[in-house]
Parts: sequence; C-alpha cells; structure tokens
Amino acid sequence: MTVPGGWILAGVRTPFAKAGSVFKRVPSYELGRIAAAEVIARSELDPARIDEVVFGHCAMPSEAANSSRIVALRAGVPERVPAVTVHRNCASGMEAVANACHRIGSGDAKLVLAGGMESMSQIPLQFQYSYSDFLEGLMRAKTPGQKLGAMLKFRPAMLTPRIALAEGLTDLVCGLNMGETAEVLSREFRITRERQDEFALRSHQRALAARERLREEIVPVFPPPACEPVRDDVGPREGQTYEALARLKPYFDRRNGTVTVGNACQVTDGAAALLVGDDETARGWPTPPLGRIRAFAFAGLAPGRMGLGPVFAMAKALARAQITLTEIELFEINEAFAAQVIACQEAAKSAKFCRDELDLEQPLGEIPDERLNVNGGAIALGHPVGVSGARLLLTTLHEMKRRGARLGLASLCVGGGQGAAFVLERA
Amino acid sequence: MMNVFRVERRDGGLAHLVVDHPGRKLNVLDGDAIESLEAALGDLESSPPQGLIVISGKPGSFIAGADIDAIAGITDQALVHSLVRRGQAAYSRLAALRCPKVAAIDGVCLGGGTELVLACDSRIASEEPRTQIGLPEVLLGILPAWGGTTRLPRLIGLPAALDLILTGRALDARRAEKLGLVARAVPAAWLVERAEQHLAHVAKRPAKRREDRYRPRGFMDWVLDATVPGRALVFAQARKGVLARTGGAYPAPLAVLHVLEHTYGRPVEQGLVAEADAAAPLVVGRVCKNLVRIFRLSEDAKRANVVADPGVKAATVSSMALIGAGVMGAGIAELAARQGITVRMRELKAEALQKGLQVIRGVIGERGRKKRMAVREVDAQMAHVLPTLDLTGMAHADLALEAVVEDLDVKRRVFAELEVRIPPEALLASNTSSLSIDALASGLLHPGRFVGFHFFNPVHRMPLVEVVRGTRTSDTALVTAVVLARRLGKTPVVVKDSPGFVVNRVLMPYLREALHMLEEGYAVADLDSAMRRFGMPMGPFEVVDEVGLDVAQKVAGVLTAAFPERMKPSPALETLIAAGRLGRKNGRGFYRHRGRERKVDPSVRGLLGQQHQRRPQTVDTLTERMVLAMVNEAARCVEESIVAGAEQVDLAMIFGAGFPPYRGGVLRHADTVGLAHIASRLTAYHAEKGARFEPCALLMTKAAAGETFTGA
Repeated sequence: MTVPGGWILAGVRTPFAKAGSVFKRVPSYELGRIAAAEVIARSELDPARIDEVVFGHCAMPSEAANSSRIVALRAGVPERVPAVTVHRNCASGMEAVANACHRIGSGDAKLVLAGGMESMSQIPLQFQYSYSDFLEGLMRAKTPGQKLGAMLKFRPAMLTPRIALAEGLTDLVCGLNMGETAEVLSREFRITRERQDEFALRSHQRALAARERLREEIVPVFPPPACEPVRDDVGPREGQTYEALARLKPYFDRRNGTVTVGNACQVTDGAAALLVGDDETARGWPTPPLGRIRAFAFAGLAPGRMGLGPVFAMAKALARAQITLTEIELFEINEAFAAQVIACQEAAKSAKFCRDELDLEQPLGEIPDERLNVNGGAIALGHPVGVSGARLLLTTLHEMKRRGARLGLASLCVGGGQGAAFVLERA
Repeated sequence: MMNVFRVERRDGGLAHLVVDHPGRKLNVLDGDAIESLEAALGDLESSPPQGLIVISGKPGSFIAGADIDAIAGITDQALVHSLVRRGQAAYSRLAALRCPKVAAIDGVCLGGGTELVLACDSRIASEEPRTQIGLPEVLLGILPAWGGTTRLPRLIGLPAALDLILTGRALDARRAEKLGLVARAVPAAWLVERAEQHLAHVAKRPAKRREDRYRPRGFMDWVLDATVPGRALVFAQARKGVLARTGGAYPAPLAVLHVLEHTYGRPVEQGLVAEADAAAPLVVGRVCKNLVRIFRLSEDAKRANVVADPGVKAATVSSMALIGAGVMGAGIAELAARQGITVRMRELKAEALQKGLQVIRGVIGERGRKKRMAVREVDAQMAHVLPTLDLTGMAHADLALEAVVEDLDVKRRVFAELEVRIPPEALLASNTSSLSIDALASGLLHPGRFVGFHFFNPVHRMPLVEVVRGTRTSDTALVTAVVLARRLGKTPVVVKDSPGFVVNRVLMPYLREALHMLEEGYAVADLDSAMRRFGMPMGPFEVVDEVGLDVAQKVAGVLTAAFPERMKPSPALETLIAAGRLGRKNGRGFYRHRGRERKVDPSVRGLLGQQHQRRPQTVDTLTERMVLAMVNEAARCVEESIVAGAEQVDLAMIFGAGFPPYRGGVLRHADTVGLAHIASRLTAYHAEKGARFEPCALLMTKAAAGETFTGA
C-alpha cells in the first residue's frame, strides 16, 4: 500500500481576526478568495493548471452553496476546473489537503488548490421551526377569517433565535459542548487551572514574539468600506498577564470548572490556501516547495473525550510514516483548549494510556513544550474551524524551514470525537 | 432603388415591414431608405394586410437613426424643410394604415428609428442590453423632426417625454416598458412570436382607440400633462434646467420646448409643421454642424486605424500590473476591473493601498447606485483587484502601467524593477502628464513596447486618453494601447511625444494668460465667470484650484523649460504656493474651499500686492486674450504635427479639457471667428504684451491665404 502524500508547493493565509471584529462583514468566501487569489499570484501560477479546488468549510452560508466553487471562480480559476467543499469539523482544513493527496495518489490530479475558510462572525441566528410553521400558515390563509386564525397562533417564544454557533459547537451524540469535553479531560488528567492559564499566557507571548515571522505566510486584507489594512492576527493580546487570566471565571462549568475563555481558543474568522502537487509538478515548480506530506491519518474516539483526538491520529500517522515520535523535531497541536493540549502531552507519554487505548507496547513519547506551538496557537491566534488544519500545515512548514528541521507533525482534535495528524518532511 | 424596406406577406393576412439596408451594417434612414419606405407603403396601401409588424432584418439591431453624414453636409434650409416633411409624410402614411401595427424592437433604436415605431399602434422590445431606445437628436444640435417631438409626449406624458428628448438618453427595454414607451419587454428569442401575440391583442381594440396612449398614474401626473397650468409648470422647469445646463448656448433644446409649448394637445399635423419649421434653421446652423463634426470625430477615434499598416493587430489584455494606487492609478484600476481585467495593484505602503481601494469602491459605489448594481456585481468587480506590497503576481501581465509620482528618477526606478517581472511582450505604459516618453524609455530593455497612456482626472468621467507615441514605440504597442483605451470606454487621441502632449500644452498658455490678467489687477471671479460664460465648465482659477497649484506649477515648469520665451513662469502662482496655498486639496487656493463649496477669497489680492481692482469694459475683453492664447497654441500643435491634425486637437480639447462642444473645438472656433481677425489680434497683442503672443506661423499663412484649419 502506498501512503498517499503530496508536495505543499506554496501557501498563504489571511490574518485571523476575532469574530465580531475587523472581519465581521467579510463573508467567508471573500476571505477564501483573497487567500486563493494571492497564493496563485505569488506563485505566478496560470490557474488553468489547477485540476481541482477543495476547501474546508464548516458553516457554509446559504448564499454560497459549495463555497469552494465560489472561491475558485472569483479567484480566477477557469470555469472548467471542478471544485468541492469538505467538512470534518475542526479538521476540515486538513481534510481538504488529505482530499488533495488522495486525488494526486489516484492520478486524478497533479495540482490541487486546497485550503479552508470560515467566518464565525457570520454564522447566523436561526428562527425556530414553530415560527416558520406559523409563517407558512399565514401564507396559506386566503380569507380574512383564515388570516385571523393564522395570526392568533403566534407566540412570542417563536421568535427566540436558535444560536447556530452554540449549536455547532455542541456534539449531538454525547450532548457536550466543546468546552465541556475539555473539562472532562482536565478531570481525567488532573490538569489544574494554573497550568492551563500558564499555557494560555505562553501562547499569547509566543504569538506576539512571532508577529514579524508570521507575516511571511499572511496576505493583508482590506475590509470594506474603510479598507483599513489588517496585516497581523488580531487575537494575540499585548500585555496579557497571568493575573488577568486567573481572574476569569470558568465558562463551561460555572461551579467547579477550570476552563475559561482565556485558556480556550477564540472564535475567529480567516482563510488559508495551499497548492498541493505531485512529484512531477514539484520538480517543475519555480521555487523550492515548502515541504512534503509524508503521511497523514484521521482517527476516531469517544465524542466526550474528543480533545485526545491528536494522540489517536498521531499514532496512526507515525505508523504509516514508519517513524517514531522522538524523531519529530517540531510539533503543532491545535490549541482548542489549554487543558486539551496538555492532556495530549500527558497521554502521549503515559505508558498506561498508550497501552490501553492505542494498543502500543511503548508510550508514544514526550512532546516537549519548547518544540510545541512555538509561534503561538489557537488560544492567541484563534480557531476558525474550517481553516485551522490548513494553517497548521503552513505554519509548521515555514517554521521547519527556519530551523532547518526535517520532520514535523501537525495535529488537531475534532469535535464529534476525531483527531487528525499530518507528518511533514523537508529535505 | 435599394430595397431598404420590404414587405413580407405572411399567413393569415399578416405582413412584416422589414427594414434591412443592403448597403450598410446598421439600418440608417438615408435617402434610399425613405424612397424605399414610400414604395413599401404604396404596396401596403394598395393591398392592406390584416395586421402589420415592423421589424428589422438585421439580427441584433433595429434602426440607428438618420444619415448623419447627410445632416452634416446639408446647407439649404428649404431642402431641410422638404426632407423633413417628406419623412414626416411617410411616417404619417404608416400611422394612417387601417390595420393594427406593432413594432418589434431588438437592438439599437434611435432617432428616426424611434420615430418610426412611434407611428405604430404599439411596440414591444427585447430585454437584451443591446436594446437601447431613445431620441438623441438634441445631442447633435437638432430635434426629433419626424414626429418624435409631437408623438412621444402623447404616449408617455409630457414630463417624461421632455426628459428623454432634452437629455437624449436611451432606455433599455425594461425602463421603456415602465414608462410606457413600449408595451412589453420580451426575451429576444421569442420576439416575433410575442409580436404576433401582441398584434392579435391590439387588433381586438376598437379602431379608433387602437394606439397605446398616455395613462397618467395619479392626480399629479394628470395635472402636469393635461392641464394648462400643469404644463406651464413643466415647461418652466424644463427651460430652467436647460438654461442652467447650457447657458442658452444650445438652440435645439429650446426649440423642442417651443414646439411643444405651441402644439402639445393640438392635432398632430400642427406639431409636425412646427417640428419642420424648427428643424430647418437648426440643421443648417453652426451648432449642429459643430456637434455633428465632433460626433463623427469621436466615432472615428473609437474605430479608425491609427497606424498605416492595417495588418497590425492589438494584443489582448486580460491582466495588468499597476504600480501606484493614487487617485489616477485607482481610477484606472476601476475601469480595467469593470472590463474583467485582473489588476495586480502595487504600492509601497499598506495605507496607500487602502486609499486606492477606497477610491475604487467609491467609483463603483457611485455607478452601482445609479445603475442599481447588485452587491454580487460590486463584489465581482472588486475581486478583479489584487492589492500587493511587492512585485509578485505580474509574470503573466499583458500590460504594466505606472501611475506613480511625477518624478523622472522615481519612474525610472519603478520601470527598472518592473521590467524584469513582466513578460517581454507585455505592453509597458506610463500615465505621466508631464515627462517625456522618450526620456522614460531610455534605459529600458525593450523600449519598443513602451507608450504613454495619459488619463484625465476624474478617470471614470473624463472620456479622453492621450496615447503618446515615443520615437521608438512600435506599431503593435500603439495599436494595443489604443484598442485598450477604447475597450475601457475612452476616446483615444494619438499624440507625439512632446511637452504637455496636447491638452496640457494648449491649456497652459490659457491658464497663464489668466494669471497675467490677475497680475494686471483683474478679479479672479470676473475672469472665471467670463470663461464660464464662454462655455468652459470651470473658469481657469477654478481649474487650477481643482488640479492643485503645485501640480499646475509642475506642468508649467515642464512647458517653461521647453518653450522659455513663450511660457514664462507666473510670479502670482509662486507667491500663492509659497503662502501655503495648494487649492482644493488643502482648502485654500485662489478660492476658499470647504467640502464642495467654493468661495471667493479676498485675501488673494493682498497676497499679490494689489491695491485696486480693474474692472473690464466688456466680458469679451476678458475672454479674448485667454481664448487667443489657446488658439495660438492649438495652431502650433497642428504646425508641429503633435497630433494627426486640427480634428484631433479639437477632439482632445473638448474631451480632455471641457472646451464647449457647441463651438466645435478650439480651432473650429478660430475658423468661425475668422483666422484673419485672429491673426490681426495676435499681432496686436504681440506688439503690446510680448513674445508669448507671437503668432504661430501656420496660422498666419492660413489667414493670409484665406484657408481654415477645419474646413469651416
């Protein structure tokens, strides 16, 4: 069995902005377009060479069905190039790249534009079904008597909106929202509030220190109407202190919890676009590719413990790549929650966990803080759910280049109980 | 006799009156057409059909109007009158046919074409954007005289008809339907079928009330159209509007008002007589001749070959690199994006990109509101602009244009780094207004592909583009630039590389003369209002304030360097700039500006050290010197072959500087005044005021020989 892989030839992302801030009125497909058009322009690529366009997108807006297609056409990709949008919750960005690798491996494509887009600001409020039933009744009523009857059926409770964002972040099967799953892990692995807040602080500090470096992968966005330039991620907070984090009340378990909005990822808007190609395309590329996907894997686990997804996926991916964890020089684990990342670190080095849950004789190994999320993570930068997977690949490869590292690992936990992991390689 | 109109008999007693001019690409109502129409009408009168559909035999176009060349050539009033009456008679015969008559319009339908369909009982039109229905006669200095002036208000009401006729604008099918000009807007694919259906519908009406007629919607509509005081109000408003817009210099709109004031509500024949009486003097009049000439020149500019070899093909431009996102660059980016051209827009700073994007959004927004563009369309256009802070994304550009600051070294540096990032065949262009194209081209790797591409401010509204040919510019580069300018909706004029090109070159002595007169003590307000009364949209000082005193100074400097004897620098301008006055951009220039308002600034006099104010004897005292300065310089442009001929100078000054079209252009105006008179005045001023009035040798020669510049 050949492990499907591919070359990441180039990539670009927009700055990530906290939902409700500068990108509030920028639709997800506009962010996607900006990233896509820019990666094509920077690569001096003739877009007719693209064989497929795949973007991850969780909350696709009703006016942009198959948002990848909208992005493709608006970014100048010819009409003849097909496009598809994929959804694997938080790992949609990685799913898009995986999709590209499968197409390349099967010979269906030589060059794929893959990425992710998300506008969590624009996730709508929805009417209750009782209200749409009421409206339907009103429309059907013809005579004045019927109309009166229909109108009298109105109840104020019908106008209570369904908050789609909250619903989207709650798992239907286990009934827990994402924050609650983090609390599950904080209890299972005994991760204290203090440890989580320290982790969060470090994420902000690292992100701020990396601001200049991160500009390499970012394309500025000029949101209308003022078109004021946004060149850096909006999330990282200058002057963030441990004390300020410590003061926050737990959000998901008011009485006994440890997870706060400060040590959790931010609801965010953004997009990323990568060009993924086969060996021949990479050989002919005018600039050296960013790196190669050596192996990738998705794994499933109990939805209530979804935060451990990365560990399950890592085990699979490392096995496929035929390497051990200790050989990895640089790690990214998406910071959905500080508690969740720390739990992954604990689980990976726990012999008991690896034996019981992963059927491994030896523990996977240590994921040291100095080599994990070195330029900050989603706690500071934000987690636009459809995009983060793509961002992690991009940012890992850029940092590997800076350090001269050969092997890197990027992974995500996925709401609903999954994990995703990519093993990346640079010559 | 050419078969322009033919009658096709169909089943069921139906007939089609088909207009298909064998000698032309578009249907034009020339002498052949009228003769042929009369014959066709004879046929229809002798064997009357059960129903008639008037339709074009040229797919995608209906009738473009009357023969403009004939209008240009005719000089005999009596002949005009008889031709007008002949056309009216033919249309009246059509209207008098007893069968129901429906016109089916697809494509351009203007002037006499609209008048033809107005003689039918009803009309339908295709929904395609190419369908444009209107009466643009006023724009050529005449009025709809084949029954249009008389019949249109009876169909759509007096206020709407006046608006259409006085503005000369064309309507698409949907708007025409809304106004009642056509009964139905239908898909082009079903035009004939729907026409026949509509004909059957019209046939059901009693014979006396078969025609569509005006149905006022509401009390006010009725009052304004049907009552004496209501109509008086409409006429008064319309007259006020005309005078405000044209200052009474254009006789045609006033003639329209005169005809309707005297004949609206009276029998149609009275209206037709009034139309003919009004048309005759207009057609042979100077304003009409001048406007028709300008129309012809601008049509040529949109079509004619600009190089000797007709085989030279323009390269297609589907993507461009733009360096500089200032007001000009951003304006050009918007034009390009409108045509679906991808624009990679580069600036050094993010804030500069922000400003550029705001300009583009502003222009699109303005257009979008007027045309009611959907948000989708606005976003789609914006998506063509890709801002960048570096030089990536240009390797496939078909055109690279720079619109950076007017500095030779800066521009040279821009070209040096740009040249190696674009394909070698890409067109390279500069929006410079004052630098030499040859100077910019020296040091380029491929100077043959370099051309000047000078737009005017504001880019989306000024129709002129000066396409400047350097000594090394290749034919292909020139043709590509000219064709692109046309595609962007502009009127290109090819100019030789020389200081100021043509528009700034001719404007500068005019502005300089205004400054001389200011220095002599005349008032800013008097000089400006005199030139506005002459017909310029803004007076000279208003122009300088708009453009910016520093920019004007810069351009003047270039011209002073080139023509030191004739174009000396102005101490007044220097003094004001030194006092920190830059014009509208910083609120103070020759006027005080606040927002859109402009007020006379009394302190200017003090700054220039003047005690008294000179009051002129007549307005002409003021305008004569300024206009002579323009004329003299325009003549030099012809003498030095800066452009192909006097025609191009006139076209450029009207489209690029707002010279009044009714005067036909700077040199046409000179011919009208009389070159002999111009020559003697120039000689006099030369003796009195010095070298700047030295008469152009060519002008003197022509004056002596009794020749003209424009064949007037």
